[in-house]
Order: sequence, then C-alpha cells, then structure tokens
Amino acid sequence: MTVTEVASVHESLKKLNQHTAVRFDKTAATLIGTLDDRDLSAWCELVLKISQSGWHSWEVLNYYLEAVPVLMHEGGVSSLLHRGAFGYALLGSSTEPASRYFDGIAHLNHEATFDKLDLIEETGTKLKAYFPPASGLLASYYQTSFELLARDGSANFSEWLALTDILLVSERQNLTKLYSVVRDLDSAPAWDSLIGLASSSVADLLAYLECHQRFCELQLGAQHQLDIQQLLIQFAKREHTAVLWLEQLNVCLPQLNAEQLDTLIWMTKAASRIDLALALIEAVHQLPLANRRALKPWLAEGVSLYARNAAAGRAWVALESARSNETLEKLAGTALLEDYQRVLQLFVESFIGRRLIVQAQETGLTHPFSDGLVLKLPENITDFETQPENFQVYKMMLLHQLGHFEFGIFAPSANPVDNDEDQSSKKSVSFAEVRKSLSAYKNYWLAEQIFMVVEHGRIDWQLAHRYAGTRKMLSKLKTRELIKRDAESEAGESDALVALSKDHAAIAALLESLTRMTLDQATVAELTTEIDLDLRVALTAVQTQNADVAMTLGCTAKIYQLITSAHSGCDRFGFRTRMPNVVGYRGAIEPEQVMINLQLAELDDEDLEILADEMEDGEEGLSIISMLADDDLDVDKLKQGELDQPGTLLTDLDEREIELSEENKSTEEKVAEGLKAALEGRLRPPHQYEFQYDEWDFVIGDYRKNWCTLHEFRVMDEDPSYVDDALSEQSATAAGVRRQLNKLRPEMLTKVKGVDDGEELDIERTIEHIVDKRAGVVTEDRIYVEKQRKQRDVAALFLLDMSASTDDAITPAMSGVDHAQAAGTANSGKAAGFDDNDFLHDGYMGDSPYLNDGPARKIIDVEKEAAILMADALKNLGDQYAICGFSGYGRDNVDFYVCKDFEEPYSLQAKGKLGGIKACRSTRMGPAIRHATKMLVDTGCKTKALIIISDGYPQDFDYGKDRSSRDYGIKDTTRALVEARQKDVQGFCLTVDQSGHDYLREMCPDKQYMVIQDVAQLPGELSKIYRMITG
Amino acid sequence: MSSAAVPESAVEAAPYYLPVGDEVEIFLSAYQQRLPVLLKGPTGCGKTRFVEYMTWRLFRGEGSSAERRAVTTPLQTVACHEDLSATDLVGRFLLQGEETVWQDGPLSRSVKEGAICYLDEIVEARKDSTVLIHSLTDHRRILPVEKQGLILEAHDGFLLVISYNPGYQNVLKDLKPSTRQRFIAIDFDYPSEEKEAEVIAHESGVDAGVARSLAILGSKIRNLKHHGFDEGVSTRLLVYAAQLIVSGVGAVRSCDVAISRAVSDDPEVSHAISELVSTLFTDE
Repeated sequence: MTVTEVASVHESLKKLNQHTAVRFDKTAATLIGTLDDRDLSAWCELVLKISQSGWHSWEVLNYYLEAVPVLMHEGGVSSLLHRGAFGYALLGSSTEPASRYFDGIAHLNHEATFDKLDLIEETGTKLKAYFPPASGLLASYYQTSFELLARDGSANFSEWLALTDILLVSERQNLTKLYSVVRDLDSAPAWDSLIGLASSSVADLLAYLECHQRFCELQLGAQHQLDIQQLLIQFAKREHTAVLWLEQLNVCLPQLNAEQLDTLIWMTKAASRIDLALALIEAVHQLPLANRRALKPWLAEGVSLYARNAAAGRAWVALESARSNETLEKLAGTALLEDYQRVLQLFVESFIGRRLIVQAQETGLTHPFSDGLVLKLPENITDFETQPENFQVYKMMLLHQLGHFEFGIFAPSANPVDNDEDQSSKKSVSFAEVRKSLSAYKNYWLAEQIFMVVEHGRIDWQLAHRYAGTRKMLSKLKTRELIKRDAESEAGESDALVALSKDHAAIAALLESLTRMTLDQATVAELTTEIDLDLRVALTAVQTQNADVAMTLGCTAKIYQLITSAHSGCDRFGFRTRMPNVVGYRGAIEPEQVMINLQLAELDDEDLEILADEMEDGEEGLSIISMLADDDLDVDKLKQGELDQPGTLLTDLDEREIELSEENKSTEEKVAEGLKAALEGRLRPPHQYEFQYDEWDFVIGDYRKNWCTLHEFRVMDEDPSYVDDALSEQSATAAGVRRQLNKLRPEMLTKVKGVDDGEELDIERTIEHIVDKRAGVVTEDRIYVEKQRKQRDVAALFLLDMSASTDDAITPAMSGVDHAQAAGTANSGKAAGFDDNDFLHDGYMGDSPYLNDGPARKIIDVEKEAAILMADALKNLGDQYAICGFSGYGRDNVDFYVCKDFEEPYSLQAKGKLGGIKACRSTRMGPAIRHATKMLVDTGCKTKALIIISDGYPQDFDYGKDRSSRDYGIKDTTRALVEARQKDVQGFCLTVDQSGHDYLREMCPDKQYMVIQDVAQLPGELSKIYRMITG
Repeated sequence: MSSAAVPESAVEAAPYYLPVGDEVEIFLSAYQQRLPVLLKGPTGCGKTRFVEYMTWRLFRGEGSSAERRAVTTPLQTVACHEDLSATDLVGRFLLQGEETVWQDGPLSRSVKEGAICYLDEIVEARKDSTVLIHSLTDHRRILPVEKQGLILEAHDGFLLVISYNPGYQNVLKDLKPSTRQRFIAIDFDYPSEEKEAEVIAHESGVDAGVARSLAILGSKIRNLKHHGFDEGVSTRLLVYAAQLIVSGVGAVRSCDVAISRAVSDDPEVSHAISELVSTLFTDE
C-alpha cells in the first residue's frame, strides 16, 4: 500500500517537475523502513498537498525534501510532519515564506539550534498575524533568522527574535530594513544589548545596525559598542534621535584611537544632550582627548552654560567661542601655533638673520618641515602638561631645523670679518658638495640615508654644546621619542620588517638602530653584535664640540663601510629598504629644494623675473637648473648669455637625475616650484596678507574665535585715468573740499623756547640774561617759553563699501533735483556743528556731474570720487591717511583692498588702484572694521579716524545663522565699532541708504553717523565730517 | 651747564679699547693733520671709549709729546641735548658775590689748551651751537666768543670730534651737508662676536664662555632691529648683563633685566628675546 502511494505521488510529481519527482523518490527511499505505513502515508499526503499548492509549488517541495534529513535528525517523524505542515500553512499568495522556512531548516547544522525552531515559528506566526499580506517581509524574516542561527548559533538568538517582537508594533518598513541590514552584516552584534535601544528608538537601532559593519571593520571593542548603544538609549529617552550623531561618529572613528574614543564617549555621556554630543564631534580633532583633567571642568562649564543659553553652550562645546578656547587652552596646557606664531617668527629671524616664514603644518601632520622659504610646524603641541613646556617643544623643533642653516649643510660660507684667524669663520661644506660626495657611493640612497640620520644627530649634539638652555628639553624630547619608538615597535611596526627580505630587514634595522643611537639610546637590545659597537664608535666623531658637516661625511663613509661589509648585497645601485620613521621633533627637510630656494631668495625681483622667463625657454632653462643644482647661480652670466656647452650640461643633468631618487621630484620641478614660491612670496607673503578675526555672536554672548578670514589685497586692477578725470570733472567740488580742510589747524603742541613772549619763563635763559646784563653784555630778551601748534598727529582711514549693491545706478531720488531743498534737508541733524554756508555759496551743486545727462553713474563711483577729492585735499595738510575698500563672500573670504596705505605716497599706482575699485559682493563690515582699526592703531598717531562710506546695512550669506535676520550683522558691526573706540579710533559711518537711520542709530552713537539724502553731497559732507573728527 | 670733563683718572690710565678695524690708524692720521673727526655708529658700540683711548694714546701714551703731556685735561666730553646752547659750549658770565666772572665752556677750554673736544650727539644740540663748529673746522680754526668780543685761535693741539647715531632718521636731516663735509667720518658698528666677547669679558670680568654667549646673544638680537627698535642691543647692555652675572645674579635673570626689558616694549619681541636668552643660558 505504501509503496503504491509513493509511486502514485511520484507520478503526480513527474507531471509537475521531473527533478522534483526524482528527489522525492530518493527521499522516500530513505524513509521507507524508517516510518511506519501510517506515517509514510501521512507524509505522502503532505508532499502531495505541497505540490498542489500553487504556482512554483515544486520549488517549495524541493526545499522541503532537502530539509527532510535535518527534520528527521532533529525530531524524527513528528518533526517531519509538524514542520512540514507548518511550512505548508505558510503557503498563500507567495511561496517565498515557505521556501525560506524549509531552506533555513535544511541549512541548520548544529543540534543546539534545533531548539530554536519553535521560537522561530512562534515569532513568525506573530509577524504573519500583524502583517498578513506581507509575504516578502515574512520570507525575509525567516531567511534572516535562519542565516543568523546557522552562522552564529543559538546563543543570544532569542534576543534577536525579541527584536522582531518589539518592532512588530512599529511600521512595516522598519522590519524590512532590519532584516535587510542584518543580512549584510558579517557578524552580528550582541542582540541583548540592543533590546533596550530597540525599545527606546527604532530609528536609532536601525542607524546603529547600519554602522555596526563599519564598527567591526574598525575593530571597535565590544565595550565601546556597548557604550555607544547606551548613549543612543540615553538620547532616545530624551526623545532625541541620534542618527546624525552616529553618522558623524562613523566618519571620525578611524582617526581616533581607543583611548581617545573612551574620552569622547565619556564626554558625550557627561554632556547627555544630543546637541552637545554633535558639538563634541565637530570639535573632536581640536580637543586634547588625552587630557581628561583639563576636559572635565571645561565640559562642566559648557554643560552649565547650555542650561542657561543653549546656543552659547553649544558654541562652547564646539569650541566656537573665544572664551571656550581660552579656557581649554589654559586648562590643557596646549600650545597653539597661532598664539605663538609671531614670537616664533621673530625667534627664527633673530637666530639666523633672515626671514623664514613660520606656518602651520597640514592638519594631521605632526612633525616640522622646511623648504628654505617656509618652516611648517604642527598646529598645536600637547606633548606635555603645561603650555610653557609645550611651547618649548615648538622652540626645539625650530632650533633643530635652524641648526641646518646655522651650522649644517645650509650654513652660509662665512667671510672673515677680521684679519685675525678665526676658526669659526671657515667655510662650511655646502649641500652641493655633500651631494657630490654621496654620489660617489654605489648606493646613493643608502649613503644619503646614513648621512641624514647622522647629520640630524650631529645637529642635536651641536645644539646641546652651543646652547646650554636647550639641553634639558632636548634630553626630554629624545627620551619621549625613544619611548614612542619602543611602543611602535611593540605595536607591530616591526612586523613590517618581516615582510622584507633578510638583507632588507637587516639594513632597515641598522638604520633604525643608528637613529636610536643619535637619540642617545644607551643600548639597543636587539643588536648587541659587533656592528652595533662599531656604529657607536663611528658616531663619537660627530658628538664632539666642533663637529661639522665634513665630519658627518667622514662618519657616513665609515658607517657605510661597516654596513656594506656586513651586508654586501646592499652595496649596489637600486637597493633600498624601509626608512626609519621621522623623529617627531626633528622633522623633515628637503635639502635640494632648500638649496634651490635659498639661492632664489637672494635674488632681487627683477632677476627672479628673468629666471622665470628663461625657464620657459627649454635649453637655457636647463642651464639654470644646473647652476642651481650645483649651488652656482650666477645671474650676471645668465643675463650676458655666457653659458658654455649647454649640451654638456644637458648630458650631465640627465645622468644626475638617474642617480638621484626617482621618487622625488626632478630638479627641474624643484626649481620651478621654488621660483613660483619665491615670486609669489614677493607679491604676497602669505602670513602678511591673511588675517584671522573674531566675530561677536550676540546669541551666545561671546566672540567666535578666529571666525573670519580676511584677505588683504594690495595688488588689484588699476585705472589711472579715473582719478584725473574725476578731478577734472569736479574741479569746483574739489576746490570746496580743499577749502574745508584748510580750516583745520595744526593741533599738536610743542614747547618753543627762546621766544619774545610766552606762557612761561625759561629760567636758564632768564638767569643768563640777568647776568649778561650785569656784565654789560647786550643780549636779546627772548627768555620765554610758548606752546605752539606745530603739527598735526592725525591718521584717517577711508573705508569704502564695495558690495554688489554699490553697482546700482543712482536714481533721480538719490541725486536730488531741488538744490536748495536738498541743501536744507541734507543734514539730518545727527552731526552738529557744520557750517552750511560753504555748501550753499560755494556752488557744490553747480557743476555736479550727478545732475548731468550722461551715462548713469553708480553709487561706487560716488564713493570713489569722494575719496579722490579727500585725497587730493589731504596731500597738503600733512595728515596720514589710507584709502581701502572691502567686500567678500562668507566668513572665510572677507576681502580687504588697500589702495593707499598710510606711509605710501599718493602715487600714480595708488591713484590707479583707487580708480580701479569696483563693486564686488557682500558687506561683512565687522572684520573690515577690525582690520582698519588695526591699521590705524599701528600708525601710533594721537588722533585716529575711521570713516566708513557705505550704501546699506551689513550683510553676508553666513552673517549669523538666521539669514533673514539683520541683527547678527548689525550687532557684530556695533561691537567692532565699540572695540575701535576702546582703542581710541573714532568711527563715523556715512551711508546713502535712506533707511540707514534704522540700524545706524544702533550701530553708532549719536553724531557718529550720517545718512546722505543726496549723493552729490557726499564729497562735501565727507570733508566736514573729517574736520569735525580730526580738527 | 651740561658739559662734563672726563675725570683725570680715566685718561691717565690707559682705557681699554679693542680695535675692530683701522679706526685707530685713521684717527691718528686725522690728528696729525688736525682734521676734525665724525664718529658714526649706534649707541653703546664704543665711540666714547674710542675717543678716550685715542686721547690717552695721543696725550699720555708712548710717543706723546711733552707739550701734550702737559695738557691737564686732554679730553672735554660734552653730551649734547636740545637745550644745549652756544653759551653752554663757549662760556658765560657767572655771578660771584657782587661781581660777574667769565667762565669758559668746555669748547673754549679745549681750544685754548689744545685738548680734544668731543661733542657727543651733536645734532641734538640747538642750532646756534652747531654754527660754532663751522669756524673751528675749516682752515680758520677760530672760535668767536661774542659775549667777550673775542676770537680765539685754536691751539695747535686742539681737535674737534663729534659723534652721532645714524639710526635716528631726523638726525640725517638735521646734520646739514655744510656741517657734515667738514669732518672725516669713521663708521662704528658692533664688533664681531669674538671681539665683542673679548670686550665683555674684559669690562666685566666674566668668564670667556659666558662672554661668548652674551656676544652671540647680542648678535642674534641685532637681527631683529627692524622690529620696533632700530639699534638692536648695545655692547654696553651686554656688559651690564655680564656685570650682573659676576655679582651673583643668575644669567637668565641678568639678561632679562639688562637686555630683554630694556630693548623693546613690544611684548612679542620681548618674548622672543627672552627665548633667545633661555636658549643660550640656564640658571641651573
């Protein structure tokens, strides 16, 4: 009977799918003999039912048949029939859930997992009940669950199922996403720890799971993962979603080591607000994460501030506020380069007697570097606990770099100053000579490496000999460096050597050993061979008080000999190996680039231009390269064209390029780079033309430190004819302005002795006079002292708004047709004490170009003309004045144009620049005012005036977070004017914006602003204002 | 009166002076020809000491004539200032009891006795005093004494020496060409490190190593002379620092008070100088 049934089922299946039928037969064969007839009959019935369940039912049956061995193993016939029936019940509009169910069972490979089948079914049933038509979701559930079970086993599996339970009440798409994300994971998280998160925030749970793969790739520890989950729960409890925070954490994680992450997590917990957590992530690279002692009180202050003022607290934690930065620096002992840049710059200049620009190193790089023009240092130093010590680290970095220039390969050849013999004035070995010497070795690369290691060591030893004050810090830095190198070695850096061949590894180890010896390491544990001792002996030559570069070369020869004798395989061209890591405080130097740049720095601008032109000419350019490469630059020869045998030079150069490191830039590229840097440096030395300014944020009640970057331009488009044309067109106005300024009287009082009349008696002269009189000598009666007004001590800066709106044409309303009416209403009463008679009778308006029929004039033209007329009148007065313009776009691009500086003459070039001013973009007034104030204070004059000519209120696209509000810009500008007043700079704002009263009354105190009703009045009013402020 | 005669003892004993070039030979030749001499150089570089030395050499040293040895005050030094008048240099009537008595000024004394008159920072003096120079420094070699109605002819041994500091810009404008071109000029500058170290060691008694470090310090600070202070640090200040060290004050502290704080008020410049000091010296 049973066999007949089996055969019958087979026949039925054959009509469905041949392969399925075959599979059925095989499976049935295993069951016959195991199952009794009744069970076998039940089983056949089940199989038939499955096969007749619908489209593609044969696929489901295949999966079921595949699962039969597992089912029999798991629970025998009851499991076989029960699970089969369960799977059959899953069949509905789709076969997927049943397929996934049976397929999942088929792949279970461990007995311990069988226990979980009931749970899987139970949860699956719930899921089906919640989302009846969601067959895809159900299939996904089964697939995911069985994959997890098969891969990870049964531990923690119940918790996984509990997640589905929890998410059942949320939206369907959450579950869909859950299963999709989990299936992509290479390893599962600890599900139990995620239960809490799932209960708190489904969105955060899903976001976390999306990050989990990356956490695993980064080998994030289990505790850290747990901590992050706890944080998410913490945020969720406050009804904050932390998705953004997680995303940002993901981005910065690769740059944080375990300790730093610990600190970040600790701080985030302490902050407990998602807002502050985001701010912490923003500031993470600036925070001294190794210094909890400093961070704790700083963070506490930020959290406390947040409770009172959320924006201020956030800005504090994000290190956007000036006080926050100052507090942290003080607490952390961090030395910031920007705080000491000028001091270090001065130190450099004093030390070597020439300018070497000190700049910040690229973010992430922590060792110094020099190319002869610029010396780059890390942005901050946190090696030690206190700022003074960290500053000393900067100093030692500088001193080591400068050592190369003072007594190293870049020391100048000293000419004897006196005729007596002086040992220190002997010519030092130049880099060109060094390179020539090293080129003689078969392995130039190895010789160069040895030379640089030994030379770095010599520099340090020489510093200690010459400068007693450096010894202590040098010793500390060497010790720290050795500790760091030991730690790197333990951390597995030495594994890198394992990947090398025996010879390569040996040479690399020797070079590292040599480096450590230059750091005064007493013993090198790994190397106690004879070569170790020999290396030490060789180094003693450069440790002596008067060791010079020649001795380094000698030492290099010995060490090269020692190394190649022990490892002859390295004594050949092309052999290279891993270089020792850069010693942190010593940094790197590019000798060839330095040498080229040093030579270029000695040239004047004209010669640089000649060289730049010559470089474009290929053949002669090579001669220049050769000259520079040989430290033999002779510009005169070049100018005269006296170059011998360019062909030979070409050949030599080719050969040398092959010898030199192929990875480095070619000499030609270095020359080009050096020329470019030298030329740019002449035009725009970067540190002189870029300025950082704080900005006042009234929302947080503090300054945003170094918020704005102002670029000062002194080279700009010129229009020399503009000034002459303007003066010619407005000759009457110009005359009026001159008359106004001529009324200014010298103000500085000087005592003049020996006058006929004065406020005091000059005692000495009086006595002398009386005595001479007694002696019968006829003398003059000039025995008085008078205080006379001899000169003015005034500096004024005219600051022109160059925003885009100044490109607007002057409208008839602005130009004012009725002269008398305009004159009567011109002054709004805000600037008292003006004499209007001149205005009315001198005919300012008579030849006003603003009323002529001509091409439309623009506001910027009016501003320029006012400045031109003032400049023309001031040249006879003797006051110092400057004319500048400002515009820009955004806080990082505030543009400040200097047409004429205080000490510059009002030359053709200054006039051209003034004429060349044109409308640009925005009006970020605050930094422009601060920069102008700085310029005025630097003059040292007693009276300092800042006169701003504008056409509207301060605005910029990021001038405050709320773009629709003017408040931020107005308040920052107000603050900038207050700062100016505190530095004794008198500010005055002139605007042609008819609604200027609205904001100027807030920005400027009474009588310190004026709204010009008629733009034609601007020159006249400007001269009156000038008189008022400086008179 | 603002003149000061150098005490006898300073000229009787040979003042220490370390030549840095051929200035000694030039001065000797100028004296031989009685050519007025102008000494140009920054403050504290040894101009006054040089004059003292040359005076000693000419009036008390080997080879000095009996006539010159007989001059009791061979050097009259006048520190000029803006209130220094012709009267201060030439002389004035003074009241003694009921009488008026004429007293010669340092210039008159030098002219009469045949001494060297050294006007230090001549351009600071009033215009009427610089006019006196003209008649003394050309072929006439005469000094009019208006109040006495006299014209003094300069003694054969008389020489006029003036000095000024070219670092002060207004000086160049005020020293008219007609005045400048009556003098031969000797340029002074701070000596080389080696020589300056020798001077410091000699003047203060400090050991050679410290003196050398101070000289290096001076040389380095002078590289900053365009940052708000025109002259760098003078040899004099370095000697002061050395003297403080000899008296027991720590090297760093000595340099701080004698140099860093004296040279500039710019806090960053002072900081940079302090760092130079702490590089070269240690108080430990």
